[in-house]
Amino acid sequence: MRYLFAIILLAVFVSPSFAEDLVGKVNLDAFRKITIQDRQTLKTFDTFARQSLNTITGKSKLDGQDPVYTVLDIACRPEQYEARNIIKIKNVPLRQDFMRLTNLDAAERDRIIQEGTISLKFWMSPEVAQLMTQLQSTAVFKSKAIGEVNQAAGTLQNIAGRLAGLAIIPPPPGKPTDQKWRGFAEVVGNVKEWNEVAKADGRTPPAPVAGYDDAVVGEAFMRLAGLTVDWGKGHVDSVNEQLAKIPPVLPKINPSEYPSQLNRDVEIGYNKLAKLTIPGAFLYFGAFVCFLVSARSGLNGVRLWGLRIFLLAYLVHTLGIGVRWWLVASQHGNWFDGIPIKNQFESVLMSAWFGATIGLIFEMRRSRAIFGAAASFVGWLSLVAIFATPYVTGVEIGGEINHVAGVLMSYWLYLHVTLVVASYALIAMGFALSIWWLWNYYHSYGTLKRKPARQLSSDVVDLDSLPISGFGAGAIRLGFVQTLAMMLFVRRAPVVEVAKVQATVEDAGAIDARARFLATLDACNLVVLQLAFWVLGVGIILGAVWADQSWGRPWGWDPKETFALVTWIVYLIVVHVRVATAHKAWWTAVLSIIGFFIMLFNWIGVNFFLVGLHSYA
Amino acid sequence: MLIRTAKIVFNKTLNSVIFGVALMVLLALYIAIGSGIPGVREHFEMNELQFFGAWPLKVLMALLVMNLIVVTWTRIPLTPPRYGVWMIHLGIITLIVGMGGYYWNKIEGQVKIPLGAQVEHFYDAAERSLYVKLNNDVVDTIPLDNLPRFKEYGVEKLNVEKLDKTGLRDIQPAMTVKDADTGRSKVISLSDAYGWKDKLQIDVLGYWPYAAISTSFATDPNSTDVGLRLAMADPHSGKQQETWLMGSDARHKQRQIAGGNIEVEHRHQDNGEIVEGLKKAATQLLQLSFAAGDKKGDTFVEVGKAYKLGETGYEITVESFNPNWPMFGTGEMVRAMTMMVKSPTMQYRRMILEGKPVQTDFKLDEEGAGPMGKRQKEPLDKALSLSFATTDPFRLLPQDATTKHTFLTTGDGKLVDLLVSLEGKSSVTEYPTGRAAIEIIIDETPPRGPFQPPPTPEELAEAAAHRHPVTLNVARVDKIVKDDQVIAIPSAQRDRDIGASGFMQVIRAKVTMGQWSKVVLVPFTPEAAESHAQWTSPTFKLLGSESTMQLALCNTRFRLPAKLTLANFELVPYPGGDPNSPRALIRDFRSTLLVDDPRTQTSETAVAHMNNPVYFDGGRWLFFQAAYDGENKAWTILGVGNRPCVWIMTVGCVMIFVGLMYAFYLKPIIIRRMKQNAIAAAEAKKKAKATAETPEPEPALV
Repeated sequence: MRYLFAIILLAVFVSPSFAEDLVGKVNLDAFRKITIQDRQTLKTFDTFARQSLNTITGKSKLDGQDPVYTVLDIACRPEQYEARNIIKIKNVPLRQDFMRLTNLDAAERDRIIQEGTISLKFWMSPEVAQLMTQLQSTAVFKSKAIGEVNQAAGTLQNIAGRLAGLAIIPPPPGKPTDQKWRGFAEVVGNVKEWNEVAKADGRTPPAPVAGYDDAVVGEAFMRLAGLTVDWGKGHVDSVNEQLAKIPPVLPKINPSEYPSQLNRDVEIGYNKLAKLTIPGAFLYFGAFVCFLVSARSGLNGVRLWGLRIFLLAYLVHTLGIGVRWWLVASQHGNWFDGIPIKNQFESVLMSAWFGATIGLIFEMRRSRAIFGAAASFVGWLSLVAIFATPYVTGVEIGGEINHVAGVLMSYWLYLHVTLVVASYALIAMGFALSIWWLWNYYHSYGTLKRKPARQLSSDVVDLDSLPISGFGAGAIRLGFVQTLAMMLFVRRAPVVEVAKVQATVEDAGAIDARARFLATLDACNLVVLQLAFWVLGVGIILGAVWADQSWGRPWGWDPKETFALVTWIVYLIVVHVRVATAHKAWWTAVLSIIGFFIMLFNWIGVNFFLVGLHSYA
Repeated sequence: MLIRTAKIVFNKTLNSVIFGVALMVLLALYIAIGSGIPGVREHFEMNELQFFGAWPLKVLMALLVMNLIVVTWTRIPLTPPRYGVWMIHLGIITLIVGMGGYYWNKIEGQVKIPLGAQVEHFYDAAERSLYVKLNNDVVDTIPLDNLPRFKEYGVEKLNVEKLDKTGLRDIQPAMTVKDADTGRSKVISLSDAYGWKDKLQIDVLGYWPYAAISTSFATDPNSTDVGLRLAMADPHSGKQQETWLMGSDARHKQRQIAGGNIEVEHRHQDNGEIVEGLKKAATQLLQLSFAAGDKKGDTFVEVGKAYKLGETGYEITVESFNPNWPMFGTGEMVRAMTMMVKSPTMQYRRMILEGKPVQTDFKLDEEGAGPMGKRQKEPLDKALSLSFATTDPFRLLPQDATTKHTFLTTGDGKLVDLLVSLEGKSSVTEYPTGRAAIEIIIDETPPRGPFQPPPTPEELAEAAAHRHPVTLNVARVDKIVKDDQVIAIPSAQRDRDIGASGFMQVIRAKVTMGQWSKVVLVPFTPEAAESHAQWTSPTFKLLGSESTMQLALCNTRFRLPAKLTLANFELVPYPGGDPNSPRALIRDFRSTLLVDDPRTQTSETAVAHMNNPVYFDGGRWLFFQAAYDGENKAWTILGVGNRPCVWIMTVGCVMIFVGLMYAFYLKPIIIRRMKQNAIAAAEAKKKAKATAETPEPEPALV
């Protein structure tokens, strides 16, 4: 028995492999839901596996296999992956640097350039190590790219043959808890069988970690050891048995610290649904199409369907934020620290949500399909962007739940960033409305040159007395409650109101319908930009208050600060242009587009092109 | 005519909204260019604060303020619907005025505080100064306001004349002395203070923002310095490699060789007694204290040697010394000594830890015991208590390697090698000829990868092939001189953070006294005043005096408004993180400070941590957490700043916000009401008129 166990232990830590792989033969449903502490964040094994593979290969799957399977296979059969070209070099110039190695043949050089992948064995070879050292000293700017490959290699090393090293053992019961999850390698002192083998080998067994129930830890350890050995040997039945029996044992080690089943199920579902971005984007796009059709045709029914789909998109969007909030909050143990607005993914998500909230309220109050169209467009674009960015650019923008820089754990973040990203959503809506305005202007007059603008701006139109908004626009001004009732099929469109609209359309025939629509668009644009202007201003001021506390001065001419100020100045110019020029709507549209691009540069571009204190923003 | 023209100009500029809009566009452009195209700033040798404090922005701001005042006064009637606009405009003016006051008076910098130490000064964030040390005392700090930042200047670049600016030429160091007659402090030039015949003058003749100093060595009959030439062959190519050590020069005093495994240091000592003291200290690094019953004592020990413990009857043999022993449970790294103990009745192994009252005994020859013996929960022999301490007053132990050779050159021409290893071994070897050939090992054994099982005997034998014995030839060189050359680091090899810190700046300074002059390269030295013993620029003798001088470049130093003592520093990791691990994700870092107010003579404890500064003097100053010693947590760096005119800026911001709310959301309501009132008034008037015009009904006939 003693010798058998020694062989098992050797297998756990040295991990030989004997058999073919187990593709398609193992049931990972239960195992993927076990919890692991990775980078001080608790996550399911499913999430961990996907993130790890992403770090290593740049993709969440290898060979099209379930990431949980691949990670377990790397852990149990490391020698199969040692020489495989699975480490991705995302930086293309760095791939070129490998061409300096004289021991590579032409085919291999071409492969590295084309595929951008190398093996761990290759990465750890003395020639590559020497090349990287040389690169880091002669081209410091390549350090980041080298660091990325190093991180990928390190992630692979941490998994390869190290199932016992993964932190899946919760902290020992009792208060206060150290909140440190441990790998089996750290608790072998608690395993009776291990101690016996160690003593037999003449080694001093490590001290046990106090507080654990050794019997439970021992059982989990034995099963994990069995899994490692059986996986290596290709024993499907035994592997499936261990995969099914390990997950129920782990929570028994410390039931109060182990995340609930619901928490783990929700996390996996949330990730599978692309963090609800794609369902939300799909619905927003549907709403956008309805609003556009309604605005062009004047069909009130289509607008109502647009509103219904928009509301559905908004609920999915809100659910996505709520789930994320809950998952992040469970890491911190409180809701306040969990507010999801601390990285680019979350800020875009929240920004679009603020835009959708305001758009929904305006659309239901004003009922012209215009606000709805702008807000649904922004929602659709934002959700698609945050879903697609990691795939397109290879840059992780914070979609995966992990801890952020400590300086961001401040209530000032919520005040400052919330207002700033809300203003960004409004600016984006203004951009959409401005493009729309210019498009209609061009189609109405065949030119983008300025015309006597008083006919085109909202000044000629009293919005409150406008039952319809030119070109039909399909809108009946019914107010928030009536619109809501109609949306929810509680009541139909009132006959009297429709008749009134018809009469107004006939009365309004004398006025150029195109000019009226442009005026309405301009009026809507103004409402949005006005809101964006002061919300951004307050956001900047609150940021200054935070900077005073964090960096010792309210304003340091950091690029993020200065370009936010430049954006604000652009809208300040809009306000004055409407007083000082005759071409109010034209200038508003043009400046709004300029302001949008400055905002976009500030939000995204500054992080990539300029150096400053807001590197995490 | 003139008045008419002036009126037209006035109306088209200060009294024009379009002119105001143009100013806003220019402001936005200036800010965007200054922030978005760093090359523009760098062309003008300005950092952000300088660029945004330069005259063009000031002019634009002033014009904007004037435009706002005039337009508001002449074009916007002070009526209820316009109160919001008035408020916004006044708020913007207030904000700009507040910002002007803020940046005019703003001071910001950093202070490094070692744990337990009290500091009274901080270093400015941007302004640099030339520090002058005379005879080992820092006597003057001269601000170099006009020193460039981004480009290289010097005769090599053919642009040395661009350094011909106020503050960089004809610098006359001075010092503060007490007037013998009045007892008051006064500043006088060093020449006057020391009674030198000629005026002492310093000129800055070169500047490099990111450079290293390369040094070559030679002999000169006029020199009194002593140095060492170290040579050894490359184990692969057999090519001879050479390096120099010079104890009197901080930059070349010591270095690491053999892939960083060995430290070598040179010290020159003429005093024979001190030489003997150093030789003795090299063998007295481990002090063992013992107590058995009422018999106590202590002795210096070395690894591998046996000692009798006084009259106790015990005898020990020191087996090993481990400088980095991880304690069970806590993982804390401690120094550990293991020894075989022979008592009159038994023999056992004992491990003791420095600074810990733990005596861990191992029973020998017991079945199932490991190579150390069987670990005992209780000491086998409670009668004997042992403890030890490392004593290294002369810093002979290696700091960053495992072995250190301290080469001592003596007044009688000898060379002495004081060898100390972290394993506790030490030796003293004298070389009367001043030349030594020392065998060292260059260990190039590659680290074992994650897929590799424990090494087999064959692999262990193969590993020996990676251990190359080479001969290190050390030769004493008397009358040595060095020649420094500045090497600009190519931009591709520059680290952005180091560049931003300014630590790689070098200036070339010419020191002149009468007909005599000397050109020296002066590198940047962090915390120059506190670390003046580590200045790396050459120390030179001023001709015609007995004084020696040394220069350093560093940021300007100012007195803190309060004395700060770092009582505690702690890292707070996110859950599950180990604060001692460099890989841990840190949630917060906290400096517990003792803040002594020199004016009120009061002291209070405060904690500066992330996003939570310590305010002082009613909020006029603040100290915020900026950086820390991640490895040892031995020091913290606090940002220091004053907060002038913050309340004016706050008022301005509040006015803008209130004004915006009024203009955007209250004004339409007011206008609607005014319209309704006007319509109602007109209706009433119309009605009244109609009533007046209606003829009185005729009285009914009764």
